[in-house]
Amino acid sequence: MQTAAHDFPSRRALALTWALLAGLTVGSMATALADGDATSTAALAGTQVALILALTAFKARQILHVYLNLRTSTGGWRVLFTAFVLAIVGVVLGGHLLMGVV
Amino acid sequence: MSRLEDMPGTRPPEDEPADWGPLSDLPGNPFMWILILSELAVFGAFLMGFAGARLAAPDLFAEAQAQLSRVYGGLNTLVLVTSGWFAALAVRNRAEGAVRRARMWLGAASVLGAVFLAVKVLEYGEKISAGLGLETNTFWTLYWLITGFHALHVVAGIGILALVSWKSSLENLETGTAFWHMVDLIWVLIYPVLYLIR
Repeated sequence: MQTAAHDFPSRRALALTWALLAGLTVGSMATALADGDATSTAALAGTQVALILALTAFKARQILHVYLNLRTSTGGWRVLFTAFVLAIVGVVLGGHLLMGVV
Repeated sequence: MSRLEDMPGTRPPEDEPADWGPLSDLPGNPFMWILILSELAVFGAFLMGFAGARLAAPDLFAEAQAQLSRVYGGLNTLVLVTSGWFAALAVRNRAEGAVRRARMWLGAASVLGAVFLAVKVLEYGEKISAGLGLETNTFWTLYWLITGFHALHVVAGIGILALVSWKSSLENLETGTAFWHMVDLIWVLIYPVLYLIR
């Protein structure tokens, strides 16, 4: 696909995306380290794990759509890449939730 | 008009991009997107395998994970997303014709890539000193394989950024930085799975 300058994200969009990614990274760390112990082995609650993985999926989406400029592509490609990311975080979340069961 | 290929409609004009089918709808070089999909599949399988192995030995994984620096991992995530921002700014500048500024941003992105590797070397040094190697247990085998394979991609990415800084057409920059963003994307997925979730 040939792209012109106006097809690329603006400086403002890139700066906002970076701020969002940095903020969500700090948010993930804060959620995982909520007990104040950086070397804790205590299991996180299911809601904490779900929140961390939701933030991760959103970060991945922002990288795909803005940094990789997938927003200029077709809906089918966006759905495929989103499905890839959701499959990965879904299996990780499923594994965590199953830990108390199996 | 004696030859078939000279007839109107039988040969695409020289300046028209090749038709890659649905891949033509993706920004930049389609080969890079095939690579991005393949890498996502490989690292996705790694991370799903890690989640499965953790299910089989949750206590071992929790104790091993506590020996990782969650702060180093978070710091490196911030370093890579900032580097991705700089790489995207390089493409933006190149698209506007500002080649020198584009190279400057590519250089800044590469420096942050080197910072990521320096933090990784510190982390690896600590683990080796503590005797935590590839064969210590399943956690450490997967840790070394996943993060080591990713670190090799960071090294390759810095080389690619240097290459497209030299041969700095817009398509080259778009393609080279796409590889860099893929490396960034994969780390964003690795960090919570290996370092945070327990």
